[in-house]
Amino acid sequence: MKFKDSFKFALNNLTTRGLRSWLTIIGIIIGVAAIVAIVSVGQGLQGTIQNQLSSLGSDIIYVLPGSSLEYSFMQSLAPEPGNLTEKDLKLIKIVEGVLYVAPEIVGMVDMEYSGNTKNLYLLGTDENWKKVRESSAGLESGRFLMKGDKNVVVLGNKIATDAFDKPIYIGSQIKIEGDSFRVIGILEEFGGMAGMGEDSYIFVSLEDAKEYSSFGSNEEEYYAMEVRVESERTEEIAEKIKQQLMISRHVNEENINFGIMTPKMISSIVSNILNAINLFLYGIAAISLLVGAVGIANTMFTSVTERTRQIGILKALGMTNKGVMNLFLVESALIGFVGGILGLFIGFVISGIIGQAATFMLATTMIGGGSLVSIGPGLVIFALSFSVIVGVISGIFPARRASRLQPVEALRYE
Amino acid sequence: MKNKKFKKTKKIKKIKKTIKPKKEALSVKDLAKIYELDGVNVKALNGVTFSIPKNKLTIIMGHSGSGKSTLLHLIGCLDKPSRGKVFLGGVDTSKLTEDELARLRNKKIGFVFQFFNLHPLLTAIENVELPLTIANVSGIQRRKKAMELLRMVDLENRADHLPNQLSGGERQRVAIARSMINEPSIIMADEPTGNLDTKSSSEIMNTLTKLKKKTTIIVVTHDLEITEDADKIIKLRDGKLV
Repeated sequence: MKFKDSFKFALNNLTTRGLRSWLTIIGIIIGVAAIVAIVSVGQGLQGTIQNQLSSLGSDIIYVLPGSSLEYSFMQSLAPEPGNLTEKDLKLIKIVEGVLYVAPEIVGMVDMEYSGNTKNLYLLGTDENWKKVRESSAGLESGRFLMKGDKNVVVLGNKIATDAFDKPIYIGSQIKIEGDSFRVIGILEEFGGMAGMGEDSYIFVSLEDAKEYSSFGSNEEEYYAMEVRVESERTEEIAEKIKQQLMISRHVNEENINFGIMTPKMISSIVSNILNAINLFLYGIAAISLLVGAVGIANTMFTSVTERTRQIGILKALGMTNKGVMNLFLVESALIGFVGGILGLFIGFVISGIIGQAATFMLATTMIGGGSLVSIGPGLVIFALSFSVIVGVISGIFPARRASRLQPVEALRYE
Repeated sequence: MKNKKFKKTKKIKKIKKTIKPKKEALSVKDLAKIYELDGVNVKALNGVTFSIPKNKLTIIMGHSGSGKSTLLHLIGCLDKPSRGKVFLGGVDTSKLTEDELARLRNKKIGFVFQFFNLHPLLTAIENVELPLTIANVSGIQRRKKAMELLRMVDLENRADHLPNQLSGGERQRVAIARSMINEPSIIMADEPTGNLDTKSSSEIMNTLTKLKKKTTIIVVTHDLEITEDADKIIKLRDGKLV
């Protein structure tokens, strides 16, 4: 029998058993939709994060306090007293290949403007910060911090435009923890990642920042340092800085008490985390697909039993065992295909909703916009092929059973 | 000299064995079918030998349980015998594989069953086309042929009706049309009038009788009334020829 005729037969059978067919297809729809949503959001998120990381500049190294690399990374997101010192700063500055070093002090402060008060991130740094971030952080208006600045702020773009009822301009007066500050600069919108985005920081001088952070030591301490190095040598210079600091701080690899992060390392950590999450979610989606496959097999077995007499007729009229098997395989493949198409559509809708929701939420909490969903032709082909394959595999045993029925026994079946 | 004569006789006998007479559409030799039922062997057919002439109407008769349907299934290659052989158009069917038997049925045999056995989801014309659909014939060709056959059985106006929209007689006529579409050597009808009223039965038998000009017809029945036009009658009782 030609494929066209087998297809017509299969479609006829599926449409005749409308409700049962749909109930079977739902299992595949859920599995495919889950995989499509997970892959598209996962790929989109990974892509967005990688873009954000690469926009920070591949020639920037982050020096963080702490006992391990991962701990250092996490610590940088939650302000706690660090122990990078002025001595470390001076040491890093003289490492070969280092261009600029910007020390940082971080805190959370109440900022008041136009009768409203918001609790926001404060970043204390010096004029080198702008030089370190030359490729990524531009000024929309005004100027950045300079040596000797006191009671002045530079604002991240989101703070100036969205944080309060009224926009903030150059020259505006604001209060930080009750103290008056004048706005001297507003950065361009960057859209950086949470905790690393300039859009939601208040930039003050190091002197001012110490008043509002939890640092209390006599010795100057810094929460982190951003180091700009010669391009194409990031990894090499990071290693040099690490070695120099280990000597200076009298530590070794086993008891190291600081962390060196390059964009490559951050990217790798983020990828690993996302991959682990994705793997877990794929597992759940795979279980869903397995359930769908079992559903198809069950439906096909029932179908073979119900259509035993029809199989007998086909065999009596000359259909071979292979022909009968193909007929049922086409039917189960069609179930998989229809489930795949609908699952693809629903998966796209779900990933679109998730993407929009995530973009809105992340934008509200200081991350820039952009699409967090990535849908490519490869995903479409994969989803459809996979669903058809699941359908065919699920239909193999029922199809074999149908093909092995003896014509006379099948014709006698009631 | 004696040896040469013996060898020649032996050769002729061998040739006679392989070439079957052309006047026979079908022949069976010592055909038997034994079923096992709850540990007991049931002999549905117990060694029958006969031949069916070409382009004739042959009736196989017997009471219920005589083995006539079993016989039809065996000669129609729908089932395998426990013993004996079936020769269809000179071909020993015992030597064929399942797929070869399927192709033989598709090309050489047309079936008409007591309960019609039409595909419930296909229209009348699609049911008639079915043997050609299975044989990979193109849609246009088979549609044309199917329509001609429906016209022949006066059902062209019912071509797009499903079986459950047709009467018993109409369904059987569709089945007859289906049995003819592949231009078979033999049409085998198993109790074709068993589920029909008198009028429809008469119509069906008339149709089948007319067909013997084109092909060999075998009808299995227990109804004496339809034997009037038979060219040959084979009687069965308890699995044996009477």
